[in-house]
Amino acid sequence: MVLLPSSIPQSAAQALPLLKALILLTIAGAAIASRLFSVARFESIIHEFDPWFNFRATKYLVSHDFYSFLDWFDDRTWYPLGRVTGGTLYPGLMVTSALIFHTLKALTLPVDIRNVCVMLAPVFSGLTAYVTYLFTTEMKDEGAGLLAAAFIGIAPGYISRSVAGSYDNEAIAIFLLMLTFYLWIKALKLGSAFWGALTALFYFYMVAAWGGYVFITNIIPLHALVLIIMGRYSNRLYVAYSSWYSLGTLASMQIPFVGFLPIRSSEHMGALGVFGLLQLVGFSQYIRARLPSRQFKVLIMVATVGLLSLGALAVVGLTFTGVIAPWTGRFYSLWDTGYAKIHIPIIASVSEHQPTAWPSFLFDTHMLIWLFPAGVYLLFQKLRDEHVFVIIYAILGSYFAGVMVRLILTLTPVVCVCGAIALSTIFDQYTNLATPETSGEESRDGESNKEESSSSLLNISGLARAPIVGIFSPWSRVVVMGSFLVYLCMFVQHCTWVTSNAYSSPSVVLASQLPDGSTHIIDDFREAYYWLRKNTPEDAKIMSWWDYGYQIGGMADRTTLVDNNTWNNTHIATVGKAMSSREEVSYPILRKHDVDYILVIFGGLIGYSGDDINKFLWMVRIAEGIWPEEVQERNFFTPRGEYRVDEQATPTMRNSMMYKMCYYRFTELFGRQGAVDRVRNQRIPSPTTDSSATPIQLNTVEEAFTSENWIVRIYKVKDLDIFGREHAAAMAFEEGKKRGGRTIRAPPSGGRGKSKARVLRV
Amino acid sequence: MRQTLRVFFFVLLATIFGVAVVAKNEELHDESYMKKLLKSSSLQPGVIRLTDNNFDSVVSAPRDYGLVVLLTAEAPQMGCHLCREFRPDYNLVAQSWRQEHPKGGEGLYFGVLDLRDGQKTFQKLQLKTAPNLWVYSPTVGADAGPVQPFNYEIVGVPDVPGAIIRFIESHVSGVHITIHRPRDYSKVALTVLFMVAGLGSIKYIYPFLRPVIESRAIWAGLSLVLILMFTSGHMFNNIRHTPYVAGNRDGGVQYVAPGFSSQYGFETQAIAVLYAFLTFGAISLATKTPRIPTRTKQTMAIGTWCTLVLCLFSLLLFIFRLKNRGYPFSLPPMTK
Repeated sequence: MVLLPSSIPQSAAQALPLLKALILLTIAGAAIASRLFSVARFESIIHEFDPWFNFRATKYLVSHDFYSFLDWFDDRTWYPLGRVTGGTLYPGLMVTSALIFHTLKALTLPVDIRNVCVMLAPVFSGLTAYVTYLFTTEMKDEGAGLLAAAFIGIAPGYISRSVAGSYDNEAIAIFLLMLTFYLWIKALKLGSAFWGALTALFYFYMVAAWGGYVFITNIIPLHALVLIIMGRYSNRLYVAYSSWYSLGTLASMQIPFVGFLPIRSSEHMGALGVFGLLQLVGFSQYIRARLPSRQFKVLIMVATVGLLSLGALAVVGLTFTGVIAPWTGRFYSLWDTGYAKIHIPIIASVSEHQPTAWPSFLFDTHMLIWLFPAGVYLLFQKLRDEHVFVIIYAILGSYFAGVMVRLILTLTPVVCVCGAIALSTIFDQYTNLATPETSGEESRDGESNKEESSSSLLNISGLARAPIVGIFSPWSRVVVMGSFLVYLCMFVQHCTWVTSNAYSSPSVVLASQLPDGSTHIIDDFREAYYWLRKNTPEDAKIMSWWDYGYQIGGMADRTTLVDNNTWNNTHIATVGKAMSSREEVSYPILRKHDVDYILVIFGGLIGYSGDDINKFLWMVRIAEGIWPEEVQERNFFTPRGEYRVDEQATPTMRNSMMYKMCYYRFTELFGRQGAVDRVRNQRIPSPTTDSSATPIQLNTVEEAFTSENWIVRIYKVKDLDIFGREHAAAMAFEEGKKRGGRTIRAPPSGGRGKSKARVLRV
Repeated sequence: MRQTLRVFFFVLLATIFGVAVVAKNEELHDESYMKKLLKSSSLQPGVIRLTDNNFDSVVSAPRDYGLVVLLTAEAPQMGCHLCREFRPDYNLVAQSWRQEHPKGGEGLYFGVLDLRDGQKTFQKLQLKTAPNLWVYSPTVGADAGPVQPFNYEIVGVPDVPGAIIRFIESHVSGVHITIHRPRDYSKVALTVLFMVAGLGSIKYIYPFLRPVIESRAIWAGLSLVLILMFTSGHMFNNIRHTPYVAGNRDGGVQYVAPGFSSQYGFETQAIAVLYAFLTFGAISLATKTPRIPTRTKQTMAIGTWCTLVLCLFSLLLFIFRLKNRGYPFSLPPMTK
């Protein structure tokens, strides 16, 4: 990163590549190591929700061949509909780990597929660091490249999605994103069809791996368009873009899930339009060389107006006739965020789709967030073709990251690149040991230069300025370098702290601190899922809210009604309705869907706030979207508009299936002091303390399993009553209550009936 | 004078109508009467003005049409904000229905009874609050409903017209309403005018505009402003409509929202300014100070910028710690 004086010994110059390789290896090592917190703390385990599906799909791919994977119809999810899994997933991730698995096996290295999946993201983050180094080197120099690699290696914004066990599409997608961008810059610089084809190849890989490929599909055309508008059309641009677009589009259409989208959906239209424009511009350049300039001008005018109007007409016409797909929901949620809130409650319910408050940016990138604009500014000074790309990326990336929390992920690489450029420029200045010679004349020169630059404010060539003289005082060097080194050390500390505290929780296993400082592991989820796996028939159908669908499929290996794929809103609303209605309403729904067990997540006992009662309103909202008559959100709020679970809870709330299943027998755990829900800090009406309260009674389901800390509760759905009675009546009968409600207790007779009061039914 | 005359005339007319209607109360109320009303006393297209005089007759059974009635109190002295807020949504639904059925209501009619016109009715119905939206379903025909209306509960939902329509459709069978938002032609005309004027004027001002468009400094400034806006949470404010500042418990003003995922408008602006100064500090150290040709000036500038960056970064982390209590790192001078 240091501009070495030209007088360095030759041996040192020869050692430079070795040093660089060593630094890069260290960075990759640090990147991998900082992602292993969860493995060290817990074990090699797949995290969260979506990774469990990816893991399950990978296991399927490893045990079957590739084509049966693509044709995979999964009848163990979305019961009874099933899911065309092979056609509705991005196979890139699974294929990557399957390839690694088979390669290792061929090398006679027996590795469990789970460990391949767990370690995939950290390993790829090491590769991302290397690719970011290449990319930044194209922008400035190798010094900036190394800095950028170090930044991306440990930036929390990227770690958040790539810790060990976070086996998700983003794990490889950021690597592919940066690699595609690097290849595109390379292709553009060289004007080479070879590099353009390589860009297309890795673009294809990206399309196979992540839905976020649309970002590339739009940013490269935008770059090309801006270059054309800036008057920087060149044959290099033509060759690079045409080879990338034609090959990349054809290749991307080979993915079953993508299919014909690239020529139909509006998200891809920009790329097609720019491709057409580029042909026209190329053609006009060709004509220009062969026509007198006056005729050429007329021709250009007529052609531009004609083509523009034709194009606009065609797009409007095709949209109306339905040949071009209408703007999809995801597209709307990105631009008009109000749209998603009203029309797609599922999108609004996912916390990843929420907008980003400013602390998240600082949390995920620390000091880079303010070095980032400085880097962009510095790029404006040289403004080569590739710099335009980074500037566009920076602006678009910031916008998207502001709209959606999860898209900080795509912003992080450019933040690291720009931050590295800014920081390495500073380092270049203050480590250059050549001291300027001071003289009185120079200061006068400076004055005149200043006037010159102010007079040329509107200078086309940009930011004209005085020449760099260098740093006079060694103390200035020490202060600047020292302070930025301190900031860098803080950056490293910050990243480690954030990774360790915020991003390394598998969320399948929870850790809590005991009063004596030791860690207590809460393993309720796996406990419950293994209970399901061991104690229920293999074809049992489990109903739960969709968040837990993938985990049940992956860990318990049981059939689920809905899962995190959320492709069928109505089906999810059905589950929402079954959860939020009274037992008598829910039971027919449960019967119709062959539900054997219901699983609810309840955090009230130990204060786990991500439980189903807190998600309950979304179930209600989504159900209300389909059955506005039967489920109404306002009935779950008290007249004062509060969401309560204590004695002020509304009757609808208290009679809902979800409420009953969560708080069933909850009060029995507490003695005289009364039952308190620790998440919502509300007192649950308990018969032991409050005589007016009645214990919750469940008629159509019975408790089957409750985990150690009550986080997971599983209920078995009862069969139809053998005498054809209503369940409530049957229960009442069992408990010795006649329909009339009159019971007579027999007096204890002799010693036999002392402890058990027998109940006579009259 | 004229006003009173008109009112008098109206009352007279209404009385005659009322008497006539009361006389044949037990007969079927068919649509012809409603169509007449729709023509004679419409407030907006598709919205019948109801009064004490005609209210009973239009809602009385048996009827072969569906009726939606908004009982409201929009007079300014009533101070009912919700009434005035709700009305445009209601009008939109009514107009959409009218637009699809230009001949008449065809099975569904929309009316508004304001407290001014219907004090007696309000008393008779024992209404204490406004607005109320009632849907009367037809009492004869294949899908006959009850005589009594269904009450739509006016609550804050994101899509009010959609909710009204769903409610109506569920109680008056065979009715499907699609919303036709009236196009604001004046807006379209204005846009076109501006575009034409803009295009025309560009030709004349282009020679002056050209240096601006081609100025790198302006584009750089614009980019930085955009980036700083987005990274300081501007979009969050835009989407969530966050307040600018909020009051705290002691009656003072709270500038920084507590909690990691919430913020106020002022807070984000302050953060954007902080970022801007820090960025400018980095830019100055990278490109400006090495160009200062005199020793003392340069040393002083570097010292100033370094101190500024340190202080502002420290302040930034301080604010961050306000939001995130457990955050352990800090820089001097603000270490507490």
